[in-house]
Amino acid sequence: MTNNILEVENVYAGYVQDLNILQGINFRVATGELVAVIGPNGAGKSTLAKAIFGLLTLNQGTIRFQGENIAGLKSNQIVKKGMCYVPQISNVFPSLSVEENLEMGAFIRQGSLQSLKNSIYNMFPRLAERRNQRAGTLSGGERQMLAMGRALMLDPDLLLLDEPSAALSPILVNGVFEQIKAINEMGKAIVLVEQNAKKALMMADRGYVLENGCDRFEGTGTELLNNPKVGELYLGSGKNHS
Amino acid sequence: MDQGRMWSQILLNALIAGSTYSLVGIGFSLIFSPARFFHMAHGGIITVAGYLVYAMAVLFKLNHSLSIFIALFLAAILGSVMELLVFRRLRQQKGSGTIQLIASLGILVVLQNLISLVFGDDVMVLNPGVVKEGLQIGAARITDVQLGIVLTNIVVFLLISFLLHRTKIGWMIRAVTDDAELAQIFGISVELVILLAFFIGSAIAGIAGILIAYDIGLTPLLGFQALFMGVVAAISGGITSPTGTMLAGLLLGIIMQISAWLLPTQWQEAIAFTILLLFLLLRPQGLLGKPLRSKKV
Repeated sequence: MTNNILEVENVYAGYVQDLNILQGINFRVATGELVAVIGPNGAGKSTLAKAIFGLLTLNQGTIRFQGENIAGLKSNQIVKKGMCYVPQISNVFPSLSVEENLEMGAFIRQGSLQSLKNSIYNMFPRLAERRNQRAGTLSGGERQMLAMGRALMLDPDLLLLDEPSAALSPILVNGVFEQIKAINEMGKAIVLVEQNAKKALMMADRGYVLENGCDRFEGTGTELLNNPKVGELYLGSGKNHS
Repeated sequence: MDQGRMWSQILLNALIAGSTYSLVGIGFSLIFSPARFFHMAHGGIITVAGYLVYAMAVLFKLNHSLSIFIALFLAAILGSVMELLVFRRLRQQKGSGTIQLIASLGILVVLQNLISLVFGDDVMVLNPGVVKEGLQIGAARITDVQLGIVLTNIVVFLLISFLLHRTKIGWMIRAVTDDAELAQIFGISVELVILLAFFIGSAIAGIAGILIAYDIGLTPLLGFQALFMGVVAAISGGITSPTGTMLAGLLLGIIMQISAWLLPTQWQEAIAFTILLLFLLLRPQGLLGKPLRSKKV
């Protein structure tokens, strides 16, 4: 019996019908695992996250989540099965307050949300300070915290994070990566789509390197960091790929 | 008429006209916010609601209150049917906001022509009672219907503000307005939210149409004229902000009434267009609006 929470097999998908960006991709995530997905610009990293979460129509292939084929389901159906997605940009509701944004994360849940909100505020004290502030007035780092906190309101089994460090200063990036590690240590499986390849691979249990919509390399973070071909993909050099 | 009395009456007239613009604008912007297109057939619903009350109360001699209640319900249903049969299908076929606007304009023309065919183009009067002097407020006078317009605008504004900020439906509408794709990620049915906005927004259009009909009578173009000023109020106020729409409606009422006093009345539409143009050039997000994310629904 497999302990994979997510299995992607031979997936072809794109934004326009018959124009596939993902070209037969294979990908798996074990329960509680942190998997980094890296690759040069245009490799299909964000497209993969969107395809898994039902934001794109699959032209071919299967996606199994907790053993169930979810290919063809819409995102509002997938979220009910315990998967949540944090988009790269536009990831908060700017006219809603921080508190309302968090409550939105638990839209499909019944019952009191107070204990959940408290645990998110404990994890991100900055959000507690700004709970009545409009999300549109938050800084980039605070927005990212809010987006992750809101996703955790669902208590998901798998979190898809699409470039959480995009457009953040280096100090904020470190903070965001620490939070991702902390979330993973709570037992949540995480798919981390990242441009910041070195940081992502150093933290991840395993990683995938995408190129032109295909999974070119797979391995542990250390294996991929030490693979000269991965470096060539980024900089044309086998030494540095941060 | 002395100057003080004249200006009192102008300001009261501005409040009445501004309340009408605000009512129409609030309904229009409630639909625009999640659906993201200019629903021109909103004007058709304004007209249809007025004529429905006319048909029931005047032609079939039904009780006026019952006629109003039925007309409001039918206006809300008509708007919802438009969404279900036309706009939802266009969205599913990846139709842009411009295509939906053109379809909506087409529906407006069809509704206007149908009304013209059934009722004719003459002015119909819904309020044939004895002409009364009106209520004295300070140095100015206001009729019962006009007072009803002002009070209804306040009540509708407060109810919509409560709906948007204190209820789950309002919370869903605001979320879809902000970002439909993100709202869907968290399990909100965007289609249901848009349908609800059409139902409530069309009911507000019905209220506006019926009040205007009782105040000045009915013609097939009634809704289009009201819609025009309502859209100017909505854009100038900030198209997703009911507070901004109401304030802009009242401001527009003041400007229009003062200009009607100072200039020939044929300049009124040019003045409204100029106000719209100035806002679009200098403050495109309107008085209290925020720049919108250009996401497709």
